[in-house]
Amino acid sequence: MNEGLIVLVRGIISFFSLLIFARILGKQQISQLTFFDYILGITIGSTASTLTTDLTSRAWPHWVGLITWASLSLLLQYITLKSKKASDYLDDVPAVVIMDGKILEDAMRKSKYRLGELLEQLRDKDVFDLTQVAFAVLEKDGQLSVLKKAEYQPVTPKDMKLSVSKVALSSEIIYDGLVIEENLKNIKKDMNWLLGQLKANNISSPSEVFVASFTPPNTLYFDLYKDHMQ
Amino acid sequence: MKKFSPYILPVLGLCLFIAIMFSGKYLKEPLRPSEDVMGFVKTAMQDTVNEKWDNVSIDINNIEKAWKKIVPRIQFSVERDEIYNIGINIARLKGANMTKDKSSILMELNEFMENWDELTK
Repeated sequence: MNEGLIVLVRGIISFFSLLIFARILGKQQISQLTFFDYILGITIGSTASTLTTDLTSRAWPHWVGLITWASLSLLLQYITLKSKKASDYLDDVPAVVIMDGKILEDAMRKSKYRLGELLEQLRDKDVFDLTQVAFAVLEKDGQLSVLKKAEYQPVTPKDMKLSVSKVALSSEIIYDGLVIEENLKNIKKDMNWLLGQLKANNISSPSEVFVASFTPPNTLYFDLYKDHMQ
Repeated sequence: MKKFSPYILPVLGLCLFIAIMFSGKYLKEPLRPSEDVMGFVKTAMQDTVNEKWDNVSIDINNIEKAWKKIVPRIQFSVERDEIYNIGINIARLKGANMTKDKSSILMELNEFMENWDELTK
């Protein structure tokens, strides 16, 4: 019996099982996790760790535990996706903690949310003066969304009646010295155009470029491997 | 087909993992006569009852050799303690055989059978 080998095999099983379950469970960011999601992650991780190193029991019961937690989580995700009522019941609802500039103590007490936390999260949103706040909503994941009073809102080009160019997504056309021909095709350009642009910028080959991106209608950004910093 | 292709690898992977975790049940069965642990245990029992001590020594030796061939195959799907328990049974069998202790040998062989049944349950 080779314990190291057994741990290696069980480690591979739990690693790839976790990877598969994590991919199935979706793309929520850590910052978007609710408290329950957080506990769920810890429990699944802990079960996978036990599966790997606890040789006093077979791998199968731990794996069943892992798949049970992952399946239940998937089921809850599906239910909350399909039904708003179930989503409100299971995930809770956002709580308004400041309305018309007034702090709602009852709502804060219900959410077990302290004044210190409120002030901290307001500062995090660049709000240092409570009088600036019209509404603040405590989201399901514990984040605070803040709507400032109209007089404290930043000025936008629309307010100034300025005309702005249309925003568009940029796409990388050279990545780590390699030309991404698919992206080049997507922006309706070809290799000759790219080489012409490179030549115009005194670059002899794409291999000199770390990254090049194109933003419609006609903006090209280059970053070379040689930075020529003084 | 293209729609399902991303799922093929994970599904195959999970199936492989399940197969590894359940493999012990099938891999503990003998693939050749020299690996027939339970056959040797039953023979040892008969030889012990008939007090054929020379044969009992050979039987216990055969049990140990067969067990050592089985362990590497089943180690990924059984508990470590289950393997240890059978190892202890073999060690006790050897000791009891030195003193020709018929009752101890029979007790150990019966416990061995029980541990064997429990191995991949």
